[in-house]
Amino acid sequence: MTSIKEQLISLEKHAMSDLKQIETEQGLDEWRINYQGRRNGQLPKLLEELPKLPIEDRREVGIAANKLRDTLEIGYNERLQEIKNSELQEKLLEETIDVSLPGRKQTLGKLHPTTQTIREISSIFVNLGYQIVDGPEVESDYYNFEALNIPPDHPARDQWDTLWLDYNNEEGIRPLLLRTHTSPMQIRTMENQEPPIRVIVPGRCYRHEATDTTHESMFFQIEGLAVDKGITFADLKGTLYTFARKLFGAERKIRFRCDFFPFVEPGVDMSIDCFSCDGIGCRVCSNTGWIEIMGAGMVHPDVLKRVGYDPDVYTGFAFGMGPERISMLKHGIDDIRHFYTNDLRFLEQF
Amino acid sequence: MVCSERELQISDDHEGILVLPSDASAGISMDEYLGDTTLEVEATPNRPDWLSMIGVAWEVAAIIGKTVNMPNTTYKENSKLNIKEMDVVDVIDANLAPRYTTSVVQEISADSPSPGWMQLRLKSAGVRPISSVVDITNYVMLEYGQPLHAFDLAKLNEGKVIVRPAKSGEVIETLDGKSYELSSADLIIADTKGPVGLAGVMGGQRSEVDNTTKEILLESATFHFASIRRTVQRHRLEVAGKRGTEASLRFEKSLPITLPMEALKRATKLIVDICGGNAVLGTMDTNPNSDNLSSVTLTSSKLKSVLGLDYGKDQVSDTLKSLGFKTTTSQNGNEYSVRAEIPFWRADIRIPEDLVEEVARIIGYDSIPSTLPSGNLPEALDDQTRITKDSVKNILVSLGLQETISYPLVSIETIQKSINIPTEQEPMRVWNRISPDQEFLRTTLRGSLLNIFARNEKVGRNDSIKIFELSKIYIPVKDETPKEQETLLGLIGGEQSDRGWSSESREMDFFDGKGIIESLLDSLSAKPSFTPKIDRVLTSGRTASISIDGQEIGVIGEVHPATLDAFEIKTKRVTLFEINVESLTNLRKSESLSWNPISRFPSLVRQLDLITDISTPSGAVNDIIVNFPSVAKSTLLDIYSGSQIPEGRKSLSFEVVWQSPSRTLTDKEVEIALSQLLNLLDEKTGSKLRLE
Ligand SMILES: [Zn+2]
Repeated sequence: MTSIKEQLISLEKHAMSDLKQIETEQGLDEWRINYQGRRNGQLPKLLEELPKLPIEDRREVGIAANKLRDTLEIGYNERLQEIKNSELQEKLLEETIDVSLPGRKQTLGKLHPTTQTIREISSIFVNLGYQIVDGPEVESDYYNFEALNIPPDHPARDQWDTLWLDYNNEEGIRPLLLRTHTSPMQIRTMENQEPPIRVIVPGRCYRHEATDTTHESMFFQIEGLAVDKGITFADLKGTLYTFARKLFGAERKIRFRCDFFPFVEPGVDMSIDCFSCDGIGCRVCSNTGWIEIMGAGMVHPDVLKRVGYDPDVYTGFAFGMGPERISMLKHGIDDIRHFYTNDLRFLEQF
Repeated sequence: MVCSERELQISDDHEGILVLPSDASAGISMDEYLGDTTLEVEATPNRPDWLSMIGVAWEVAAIIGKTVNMPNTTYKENSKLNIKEMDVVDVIDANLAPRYTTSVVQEISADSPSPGWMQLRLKSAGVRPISSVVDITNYVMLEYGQPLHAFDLAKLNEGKVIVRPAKSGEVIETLDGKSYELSSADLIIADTKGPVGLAGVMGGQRSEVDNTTKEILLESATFHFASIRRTVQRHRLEVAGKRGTEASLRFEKSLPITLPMEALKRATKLIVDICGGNAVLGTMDTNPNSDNLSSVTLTSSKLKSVLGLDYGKDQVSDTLKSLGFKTTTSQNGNEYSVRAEIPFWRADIRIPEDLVEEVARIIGYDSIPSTLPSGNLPEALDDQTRITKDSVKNILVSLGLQETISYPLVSIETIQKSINIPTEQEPMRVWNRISPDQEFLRTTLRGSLLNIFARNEKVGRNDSIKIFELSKIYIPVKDETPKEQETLLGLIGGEQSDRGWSSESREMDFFDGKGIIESLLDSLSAKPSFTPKIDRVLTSGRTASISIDGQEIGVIGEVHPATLDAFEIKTKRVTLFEINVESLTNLRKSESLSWNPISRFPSLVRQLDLITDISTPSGAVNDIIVNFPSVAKSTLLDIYSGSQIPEGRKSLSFEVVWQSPSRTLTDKEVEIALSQLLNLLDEKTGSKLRLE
């Protein structure tokens, strides 16, 4: 009779060779029952013979049997891991995708380009300590014109073609209009606040005007006003220079030329050197090398007096610009009428 | 080569070739003969002197550092007659004609054209030569910026002009052959028979100078700018499509009262030189004191307080002199002052700040340093409305809606077709509308956005449109300015997702809109409730009012098919939402934001299947569950009505999460709570446990 020891060796050989053939977890369980099953497993069966052995052999065989048990267990676990890995591998392979297919879109809306520009400009001034304020669009002749040194029949009224509201007061005159600029808020702000004043006023304005590529009957303006003791034209220059470099790039130069607005003295327009050609001359700047950005000036002493400020104590500057124009310059938009036609094919590009 | 004037770009004249006058000698260059430079000047309304050669010359001189040779105004008064004895002028209205100066020249020959040099210069300035006398008055107007008029003295009844308001119904026939019926608001020049000129605008035919004229009365006057402006507006006066005349254009800008006499002398001199004749002794002047030039004083402290720098006494004085001011300077300690006498052609210098501008713009704004204001900053504003507006826009954009901005002026139909209840008071109307499409201030954003929806459908947008606008509406208030109210309006319609390889698309409906509102209000920490509502423009049964804490802040609903038709919208289901942003702002302000501590105790999940009347709002049931003690969360999993349950009933399945902030809940406790909850649900909504 072959010794138990030999049988153990042979059992190990068979078991390990069987193990290599197994491809599924189920087969693996069957294999374990076959060799290690408590009732009919080959190893327990073999060990039933153990008591029959002489005492001195029992210990040796017992050690060998335990070792075999460990080997089978390790083999089982290793094989189980291998099978699991290959199953996972297979499963993942099946899940291979075409990574070039378009992603599932999370559609984002866009803010209107005017809103974007107003926010961009506003944030620059907020960082310089300005408050953002808002005012009525239906204005009185007084705030829109008279308080700003534009009395009735003043030739400067031609600069603002006005939409008047169909409303007569007791004297039979039409006192209400749609504001032609955001400048009335200069007066309202000075009436409502004490210096120091630093405000910007983004808002809608209206003109009785035929529309073309650069004119709209409704558009936005951003007005700025700073009033305090000791404010000078140099401060206006520095403020607008800071603004221009923040908005158009640190390398920008600015230029002031005289212009006329009845509510400032001196009055100027501010240009930046063309960011498209760096001042050499191109289509964007109409070959001048300069792009007009806004009107500005020192608040007229008569305007200060009208709101009860002593012009010998307080001085101030004001400026005004069109966000659509700035947006057009930055994006190269050729027609202002795109802005309020609300074609989604236009709006969705910003 | 023979060219027309238009081909040479001298003028628009292309009737035949340009024939040079005899004073042009052969062999000199055309540029030299014509003078080679044309300056185009953009004259701001405060600078009528830039509409004159003198004004521009002084400007150029100051810039390039040269001096100006003023025109010669001296002439010989050959006549024995003195104008004072002639009684040629009577000014009735000195307010509207504060200065009226005249001269008379007799025995002139008016039958030859003006000299070639004058004609060419007139043409370069865009003025067509007519006859020597008219050309001279035009020429002097261009030189001085002062309009002049020449009357044929022989044609004036009783040899005299009267400056007076017109009588209502009087008619004048002007030089251009048109006639105007006048009112008492028009200032005219008349003789004893009637009008001979519309003051400051245009002469009349009856006193027109012609080839046979022998004796002329020259007028050089100041008229009130507002009067001239109103006359031009009232009669819609235009020449060659341009508003007003060369004369009225200048008068409207308010000419200096110091100007007429200088121009009168110059014109008289040119008449004598060119047309011959004898100038009558002296001139008439209704306001001789006005020739005294006024002055303005600029101090160094004013200069510094406005500009932030000081150029020094000499540079200030020299700069002003270069512009034609006469200056006297004085020094008082560190302070100096420059007294500047204003030249007769300038009407815009009134206060020291005006002189500051003169100095700064000529020296150049580049000379001024760039600084930032150094004082204190104002306190930060409490601008909740703006913060709310910005947040609302940001959230809607992140939820996939596109912001639009549309015209606040709309047609009355746009409002009527889209407003819920037509208000008693009509929207504010524009008196001088640009077009019927822009006539009324909108009282709703609905029509504007529905129009945008339709327009985008028309240009081929056929998958989905999700748009919003946050703008003002203008609610009329009797005898006051309208209330301008920030309002949000959104429209969504079309497919829920982008059509594509991976997604099934479905039609968006009420609940897509409601989801947007819920997300929006949730991120603003507001808890809305929705209750059915009737709105004329929206589909009843698919419309709800939106309330927060019992206060209605808006409405959401599917747009009624008839409204969609009225706006020519093809999409079948379009959901509209409208929110009053101001009440939203106020709600946010009043709310104190608190938070709930995170419970560290385990939660228990129970499914709750209810059966209730089909008309019971599921929202009401859910509200009761969510607000029940120890309920952490409730999710409506399923709604069912059909064969499994009785007619007129529906089943609602909720998943309810129970959790206590302070301890571990036992199964037993949840059982008890659940039965109490069921009692409450039965009592409040008639909902019962659904028994399988
Ligand atoms: Zn350029």
